[in-house]
Amino acid sequence: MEEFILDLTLVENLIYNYMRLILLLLLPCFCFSQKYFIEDSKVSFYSWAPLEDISAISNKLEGVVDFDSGDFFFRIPISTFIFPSSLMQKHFNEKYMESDIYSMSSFKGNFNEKILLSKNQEINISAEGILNIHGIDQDVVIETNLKVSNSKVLFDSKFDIFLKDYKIKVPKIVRMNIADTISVNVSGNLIINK
Amino acid sequence: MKAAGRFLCFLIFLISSFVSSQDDLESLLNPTPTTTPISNTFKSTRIINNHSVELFGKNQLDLRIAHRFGLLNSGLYEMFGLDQAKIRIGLEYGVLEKLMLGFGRSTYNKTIDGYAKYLLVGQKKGSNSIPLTVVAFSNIAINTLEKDVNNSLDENGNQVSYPFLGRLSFCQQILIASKVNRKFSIQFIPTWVHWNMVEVNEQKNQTFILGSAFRYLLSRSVSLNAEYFHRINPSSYDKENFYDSFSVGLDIETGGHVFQLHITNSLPMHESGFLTRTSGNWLDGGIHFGFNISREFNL
Repeated sequence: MEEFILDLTLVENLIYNYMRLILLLLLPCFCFSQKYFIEDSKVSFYSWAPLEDISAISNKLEGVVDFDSGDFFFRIPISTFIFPSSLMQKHFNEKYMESDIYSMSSFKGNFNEKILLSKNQEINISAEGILNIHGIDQDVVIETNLKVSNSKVLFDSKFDIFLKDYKIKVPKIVRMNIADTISVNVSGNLIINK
Repeated sequence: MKAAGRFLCFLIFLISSFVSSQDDLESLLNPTPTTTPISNTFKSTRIINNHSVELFGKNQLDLRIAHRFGLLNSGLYEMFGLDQAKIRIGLEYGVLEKLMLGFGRSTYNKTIDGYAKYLLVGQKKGSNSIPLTVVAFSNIAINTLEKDVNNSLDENGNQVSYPFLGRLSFCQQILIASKVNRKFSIQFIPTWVHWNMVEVNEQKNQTFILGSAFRYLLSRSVSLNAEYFHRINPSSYDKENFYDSFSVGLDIETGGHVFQLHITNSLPMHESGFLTRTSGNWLDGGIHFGFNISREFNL
């Protein structure tokens, strides 16, 4: 009856296997990368045209960044942009952005290099991804300034949007009031969890 | 046993790697609100003569100039009405998000009018949708003509004095509108008009009116509007001398302005006036060309 003899190697193997199993079970918890979420934000845009300067601000940017993989996702509800004039805001939503259909603009992509959050630093980095405005996807690269300090990440970015790229049509009658190129400023900070 | 253990390990590893790579970043954000308010039911605070359910934002001031030319059937000598014009100049202000106040003076009977407009219910779409926008509206108008201009005589042939209270007329409305789709909006307007004093005994002091209006977007910047007001209880005198107000117009939007061009059989531009003192008859060319210009200021 050899089978009933305590086989030390078998036990050893069993323990080894179970340890591996436990380790593997725990692995996802360690691996599960910390996601950074937007705490405060400010998104503003400007149009400088011969007859009129237009600007609007929203602080309703939402977003999450996974600094391990470099992936990010940002979005902003279009109707949250506040204009100095309510008529402008009305036109912006109804005539140009059609926010009843395209309620969100989003930016999804990843950073082209790894960012170490363990040390405080300030770096310029490019974010590559798909910018969706007015229901149109465009591949863009946006330069961003990142400041890492004590596990808080501040970001600040400026870029231009060509209205034609996103099929936002400007009627001839207001061509002198609305610029072809809109400059956008996005800034805010990211923290772990909400 | 050993093989099973290894397989289990492999499976768990597979699942764990699957879980960590597959979670979508977007799903980590708060879900987007499922109920959204509907705005821009009409382009302007007026459909043509009557108010729409639109309100100005807080601290927005609107300078509004309304113009009605003379009767189209007045002939070439009057250049088909263009020689004469009635004007209302108004200042209107968004006090709160839901409350708007305004006043204006028109050359028609030298009338000063003031109104208050309050949003009761806003139309919403989504899970908790509300199909209608409901606005309460109240207007008071004061005729400031000198008393002898009216030429009303009493039984003894003396000129009727025209007391202050007798110069007042009121209009109360509930504006009920629905934006059916992006282009088409309708509005119903149950109305009660009260004149403290009427010019002739046979006229009614109280008139109930049911109004209806729509707008249809022809393009992003131009909409076609129409409104009709049916008087429910006019006296025979009212029926003979005055008509139901009916107007058709275009709203044309440019940068900071809305131009409203229209033809209407109403000359007065305040509510009690155009609802119960419309003297033009569409059927024999008794219509006026008119326009409203609205310029908005941010205070």
